[in-house]
Amino acid sequence: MSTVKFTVDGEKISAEKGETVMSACKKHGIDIPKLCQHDAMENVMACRVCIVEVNGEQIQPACGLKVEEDLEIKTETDEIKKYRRMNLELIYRSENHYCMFCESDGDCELQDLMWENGIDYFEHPRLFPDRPIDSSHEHIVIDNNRCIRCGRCVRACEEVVGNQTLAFGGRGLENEIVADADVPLKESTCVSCGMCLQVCPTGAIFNKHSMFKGIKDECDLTESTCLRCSVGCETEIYTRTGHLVEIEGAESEMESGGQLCEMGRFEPLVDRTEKIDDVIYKENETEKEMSLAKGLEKAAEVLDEGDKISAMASGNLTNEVLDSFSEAMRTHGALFDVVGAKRHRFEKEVKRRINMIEGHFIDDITEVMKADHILLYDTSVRDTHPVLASYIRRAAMNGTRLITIDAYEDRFWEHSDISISVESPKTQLTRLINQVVREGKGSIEDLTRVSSILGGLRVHPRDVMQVVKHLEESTYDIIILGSEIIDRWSIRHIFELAKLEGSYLISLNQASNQYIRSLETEGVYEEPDVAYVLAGDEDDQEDMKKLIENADFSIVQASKRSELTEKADLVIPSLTMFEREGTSVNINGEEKEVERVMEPKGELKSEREFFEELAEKR
Amino acid sequence: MTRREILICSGTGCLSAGAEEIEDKLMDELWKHELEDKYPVTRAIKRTGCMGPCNLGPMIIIRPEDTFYGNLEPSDVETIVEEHLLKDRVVRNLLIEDDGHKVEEFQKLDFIQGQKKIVMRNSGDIDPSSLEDYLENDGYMAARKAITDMEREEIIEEIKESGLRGRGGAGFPTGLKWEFTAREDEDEKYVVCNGDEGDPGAFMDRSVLEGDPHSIIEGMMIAGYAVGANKGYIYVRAEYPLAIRNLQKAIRDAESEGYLGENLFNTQFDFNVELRVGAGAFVCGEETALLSSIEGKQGRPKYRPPYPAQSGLWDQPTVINNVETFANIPIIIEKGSEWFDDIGTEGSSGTKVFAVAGDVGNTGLVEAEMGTTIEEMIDIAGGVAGGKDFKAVQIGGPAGGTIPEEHIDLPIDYDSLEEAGTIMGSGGFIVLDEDTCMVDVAKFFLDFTQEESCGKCPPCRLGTKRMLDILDKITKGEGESEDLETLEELAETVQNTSFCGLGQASPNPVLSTLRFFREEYEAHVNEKECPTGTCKALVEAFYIDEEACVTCGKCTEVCPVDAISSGDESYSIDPDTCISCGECAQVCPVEAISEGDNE
Ligand SMILES: Cc1cc2nc3c(=O)[nH]c(=O)nc-3n(C[C@H](O)[C@H](O)[C@H](O)COP(=O)(O)O)c2cc1C
Ligand code: SF4
Ligand code: SF4
Ligand code: SF4
Ligand code: FES
Repeated sequence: MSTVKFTVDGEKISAEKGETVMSACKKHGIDIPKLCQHDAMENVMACRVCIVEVNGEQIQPACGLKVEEDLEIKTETDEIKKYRRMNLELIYRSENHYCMFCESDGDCELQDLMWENGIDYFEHPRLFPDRPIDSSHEHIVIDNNRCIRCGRCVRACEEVVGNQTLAFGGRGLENEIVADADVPLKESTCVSCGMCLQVCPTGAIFNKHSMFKGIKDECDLTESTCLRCSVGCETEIYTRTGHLVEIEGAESEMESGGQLCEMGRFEPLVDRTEKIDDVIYKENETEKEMSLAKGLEKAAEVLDEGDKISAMASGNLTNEVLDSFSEAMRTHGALFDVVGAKRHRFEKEVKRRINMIEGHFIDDITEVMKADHILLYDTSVRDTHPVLASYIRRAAMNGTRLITIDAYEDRFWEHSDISISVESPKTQLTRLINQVVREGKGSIEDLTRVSSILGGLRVHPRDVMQVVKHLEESTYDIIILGSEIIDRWSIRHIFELAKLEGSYLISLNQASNQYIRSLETEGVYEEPDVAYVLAGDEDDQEDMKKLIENADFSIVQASKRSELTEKADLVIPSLTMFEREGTSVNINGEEKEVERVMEPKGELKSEREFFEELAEKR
Repeated sequence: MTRREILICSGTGCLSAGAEEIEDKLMDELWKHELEDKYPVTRAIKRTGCMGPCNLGPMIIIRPEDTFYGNLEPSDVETIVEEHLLKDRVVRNLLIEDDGHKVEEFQKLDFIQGQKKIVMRNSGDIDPSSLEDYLENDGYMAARKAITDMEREEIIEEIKESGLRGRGGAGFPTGLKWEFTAREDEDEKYVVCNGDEGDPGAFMDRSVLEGDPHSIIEGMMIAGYAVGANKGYIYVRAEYPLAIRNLQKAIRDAESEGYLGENLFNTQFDFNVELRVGAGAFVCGEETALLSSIEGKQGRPKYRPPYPAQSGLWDQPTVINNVETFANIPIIIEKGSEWFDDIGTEGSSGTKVFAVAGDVGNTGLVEAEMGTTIEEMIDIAGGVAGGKDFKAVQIGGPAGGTIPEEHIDLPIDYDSLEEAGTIMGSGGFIVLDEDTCMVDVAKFFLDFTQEESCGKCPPCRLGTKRMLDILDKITKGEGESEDLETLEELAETVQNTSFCGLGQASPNPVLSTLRFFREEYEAHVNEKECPTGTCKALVEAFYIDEEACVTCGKCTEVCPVDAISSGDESYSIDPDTCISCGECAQVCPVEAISEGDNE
């Protein structure tokens, strides 16, 4: 990369060739005012606020202008200031900007620019727009009356989320943000990630659950890691007087563009389930509350009496909690498992049998955007790992061939080049693909044979051959295995395929903390005397439910009331995900810090200490 | 009896004036007089594209005499057949009058004589739906010459030498544009013809597309060969159904006769053309927006650089030219750059087609040599209508400006127009007589651009709206002293900070009228007066002279606001309700109604 030198307001600056004037200036601490530009997205030069004077003659937007040797840039000439002021005032006066009635008052890039440019009096009258407000969506409000048409939301939706829900409708003064073919957002293809409201510089798109709860400057900010899935997005969590205000994606983490999904951004804000603060012991149909210390004693006592003990932990806990819990359970002679670990154990077994090396596994999931082919086996990733799903959509939009296989509805059909739905047993399909790859093109052409193998599967042999053809053509293909796959044969076929084709693999499981890969787990007694379930924030986990139902006595440690705690004999409080701190490992194998966002409200302050004590009570 | 050919203008103007009825009637008459052998439909009756003098439609030319009959009624056809066709006698009372004398031959019409037809060389002369006709007029000879006899660089050099500049508005040298694209080292390149033509009242490109579609295909093909592109797109607005139909047929015919497709003229060169129909937003005429639209995306302008010549359609190098630009190409190749460069002026060679409209004798298409003066243009168009005085001419459409009487001898070429504060634009030419209010003219054009703004950038979306509101205020008599200054400040901001040409040029009509007719604005603002009486809100109420009124009641029927009530002796107008539209005064049989105060 060659460098060029140019001048900004008399100061010599060097920059990389191909860079924009705005980005070069930013690196040198010169902030040029802007509204439409956003680092995570393509520059569209729409707002005209960043205009600068070039070589004493031209006026150009700094966000579009590329640096060149000897450019003379001036950012604050009288003329520039005049034009900037005029455009800002027109923007402000033409829409409904009565700041004191606005959700974004104090958190608004437009408002900031008004102040910074000294626009505290007006020369132009208001236009009083009267557009309908779309509040149909569960979390998101779109108020076109405050929209400045910067298009950040539209670009975020398309470029960051790969979704193309938002667009501009109408032209001129009628130009506004619409969802799909101008339908209410609730009825649109919106995936509820909330990326649009995060990038909106004004109060035109906002979060229903955070509105009027506090200006960001006045909130406490904690940077942490989202533990809802193994993507582990970096979060910025705003709280005020111990209450959650808003959760945003960290925009510094540029590949994700600051993305979060509905689970990470909105669900914690709407969670109204009752917290568990005290130990509850159920005896003869009556509930008895007791102190934490008493609860601990009771638990130790039950564990001591038990013969076959099963312990199961959520996969969304920190390394430290998982370690101390497994340690405590082992000292009590329990068999220990973590949700999601079973899949991992199967994989380990398969890898050993087919002699597969680790090199096949990708250590950066953003690589999917560079692959030329993606084979997505089990499309549930759309719901389980939504941010990864957005990378897949972005890849498909940019020309990556996408092959999807699912037992049920294909959740990527709009983006998929080949979509195959198979009813179980799916193993036959993978075996077939596998076989065709192994035996070469000859067997591809033998249609009748393919058909006979497919037998009861409702799959067209042509599709199978297409899949194979694509895989053989590709030079960089990634196979993604969804977390719902739990039969060993499928895993084996897919892994073998990857080995044969030299494909890369991303293997997903239900745990958000991939520390489970280095933990000793062995599976549990299905019908134990005692079950100890460390649910954390988990409220609806199938394996946990089954275990509790089959146990003679069950202990559930959870942060909130749920079906699990209803069925338990002894309920012990755990911390919530925002009270816990520690580390967690994401899908890329990186260790991430999980920060404490709120002080624990109950008697329990540290789960690790609790389990250490429990271990000692042997 | 002479072997004759009858040309019926079937351009859009004539079609809407009833050309089809005339044709039907002609066929009926020929049948009635058993002339079907002498006048075989396929050879003797020819539907042509626009002949030019649109306000004389429907019109026919009888050849070989070149007799021109215009403003025809179906009943006239009978006379023409009986007299002209059967008895070889020109029907004098159906001839068109120029300056009081009857003109027999089409070429002798003042309107035609002053013109120089290069772009419109075939329009009005050949049947646009016939490839054969085009071939008979040397069609595809230039392409053959270029592709079989000339080097790519040679063609580009020839176009550069010719001095041809883009006719789509900006006037960029065409040869240079081609050279940029030719220089790019890419396998996929494209040639795009911009037929979006969105200026209000413009129909030059439409007439060429309708009247001579093959010439566009030929021009694009030559461009394709010269820059190394094998694929062309013609983008036409959906409002031009006839152009679309004729182009579709032309492409199909050219394909089946081997003038499009693979190995053209037995060379290695392949070229195909596809038609794209646009949804009709004005901004889609802007080149980057147009390319986005062809790609199937929203038609919004994109930032340049990169220019389409380097990165255009699907990010490949793309030549994009206007219809009229392409129409010039074959003839330049055929006759050579020197011939073309000799036509016109130093910096502007060739001709330009104008859609002449407004207060002139003859409206229609005029193709004039560059350098023709405004005065000459007006003469060609039959002078200012109704013996009124000339006030100004608006050139260049909504991106252009107004030139006042004192510059009537201004030669029309790129540089002179720019100096006078307007642009060549795509060829709008609206003649304004003494009764025209210049504030109203500015408002008309600004209203158009404001409506057509795509909405992407604030100066254009909001600045034009604000300017329009001020003009509206001024024409309503609510102007304030600082309004003109605010208007200029806004204009400057919009001009200098808008994203694309639409916004950047939108203040031009306002700025140029402010430059030449500032006192008219001031009269509106300061004296609350519209000097031409155009702005109704500034005109005083009408009143009825009680003595003169014959109580016929005709005035009440036309008053749009019911301001007139009846009485025994006389009708009367409520001055508070009256909007001074003057409708009543027009219908009063005894001229009892006049403007102003009764006192
Ligand atoms: C708002 C706007 C509208 C335009 N409309 C047209 C049009 O209708 N036809 C056209 O040929 N060029 C139009 N242009 C100019 C094109 O952007 C482009 O310059 C032209 O097609 C280039 O062709 P030329 O070099 O042959 O003139 C328009 C430009 C702007 C800014
Ligand atoms: S969006 Fe910003 S400028 Fe507009 S009202 Fe809200 S706070 Fe004020
Ligand atoms: S809603 Fe917000 S982000 Fe979207 S265009 Fe309007 S102001 Fe920009
Ligand atoms: S100037 Fe701006 S708003 Fe106007 S048409 Fe161009 S891009 Fe759209
Ligand atoms: S930030 Fe550059 S134009 Fe908006």
